[in-house]
Amino acid sequence: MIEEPYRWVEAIANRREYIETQLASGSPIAALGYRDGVLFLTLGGSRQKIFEVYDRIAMGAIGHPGDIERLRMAAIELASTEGFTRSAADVSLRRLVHYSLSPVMKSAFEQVYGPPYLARMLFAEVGVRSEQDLFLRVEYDERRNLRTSAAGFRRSERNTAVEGDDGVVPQSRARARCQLRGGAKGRA
Amino acid sequence: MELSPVALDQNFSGAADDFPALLRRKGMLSPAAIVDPIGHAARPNQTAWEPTKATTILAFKFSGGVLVAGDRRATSGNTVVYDRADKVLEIDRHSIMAIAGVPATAWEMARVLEHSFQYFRRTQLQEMSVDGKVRALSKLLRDNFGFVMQGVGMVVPIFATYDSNSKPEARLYFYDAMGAQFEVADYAATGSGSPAVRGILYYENNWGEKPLQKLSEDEAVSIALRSLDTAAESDTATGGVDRSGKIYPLIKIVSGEGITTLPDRKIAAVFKETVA
Repeated sequence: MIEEPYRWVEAIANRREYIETQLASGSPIAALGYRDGVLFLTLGGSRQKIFEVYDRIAMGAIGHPGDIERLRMAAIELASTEGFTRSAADVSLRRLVHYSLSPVMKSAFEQVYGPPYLARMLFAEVGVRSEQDLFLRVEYDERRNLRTSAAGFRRSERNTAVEGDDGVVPQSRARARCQLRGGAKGRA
Repeated sequence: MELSPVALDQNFSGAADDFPALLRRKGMLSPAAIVDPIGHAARPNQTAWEPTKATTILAFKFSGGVLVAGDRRATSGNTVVYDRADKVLEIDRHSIMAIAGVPATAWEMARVLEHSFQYFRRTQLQEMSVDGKVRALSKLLRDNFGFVMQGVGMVVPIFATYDSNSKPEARLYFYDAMGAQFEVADYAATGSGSPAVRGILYYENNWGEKPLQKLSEDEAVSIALRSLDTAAESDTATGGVDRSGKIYPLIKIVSGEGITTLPDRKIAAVFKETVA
């Protein structure tokens, strides 16, 4: 099948459609930077969706629990070994996502005979000052989206109002709309 | 074929290695040393290097939790190499490891332990139990025992923590170099100056004004300072209190609220009033 370019493109498109359908019912997750750290919010508490990765890094994820778990473990392993061999200050979300997780997700998505990762993830890193906070959204096909004050995703991929470089969502409004589930990473 | 930096295991079972195992898998921690039974016998004329535990570390329970204190001197043979060594190390918000032994090994152990607890919490989504933490240190000591037999890297720690489970209480353990752990009811001391300290703490606990567990914080600090000063009196490897340099022992307290490091000025005040 993949010997023919057209078939490959078609397979990828099918795969994308399939994953989007699977992810469509996932709860929204938002991360907002504020004075003392980063606040993660989501709806529903039946399954944990917000996780600690390292000293200054947390993630929220929707998708298949098994896939989320493998990606989560990989992120924690990488951050922990880096933090151990060097120092906690040398663990960087940028490097973690761009050079370690993304390539793996990309190849899993494009190798159409293997299973892709059914996961949409939102990472946040607390900076020394709030201007240095970093928000990274990572899709199943490794498309990335970098923000500096707040980020999130809603039920439908086409409707991502809860994000912006200028922190579109005031914390009070976000709180009013979402029940607080999850945690915050504090500025040390 | 070059391996991806993230070797994601498709058959991942959810059961994570412990942190030292992860480090070994990635080649970041040397494998557990192998005991060399003929190591010294093969060199009968060579004097075996004596592993020094040149230090004094003590810990006891008092009314406000567990007090852990250590002198600040680091020695190499007869030489004092450092007079501000930190031998009372915070491992997490409720745990302290105090070390007597070879600093390089001890600090590395403390780092592995600190990361182990965090790694467990992050991967398993719950705090490691006190028993689990106590075992983790025991395992590190056991893995290190081969080096101890070869005459390098002996570490004899004290571990103090606060168990916030069903029956909240402070817990105190000491270890031997092979990794056996002993939970103590009242006090523990280790290092070259410890015989003197153990004498004092035993005496205070049985015939002092009140048992150690009933002491207030100031009284506890006072006993810790007196003990270390006594140890330093006869043990050259223990720094005690440097009166001219104003270097005081390091004192930390573990309680339900976490760990408090006593500021020098507070220790100095107690020292001036009850010891000097």
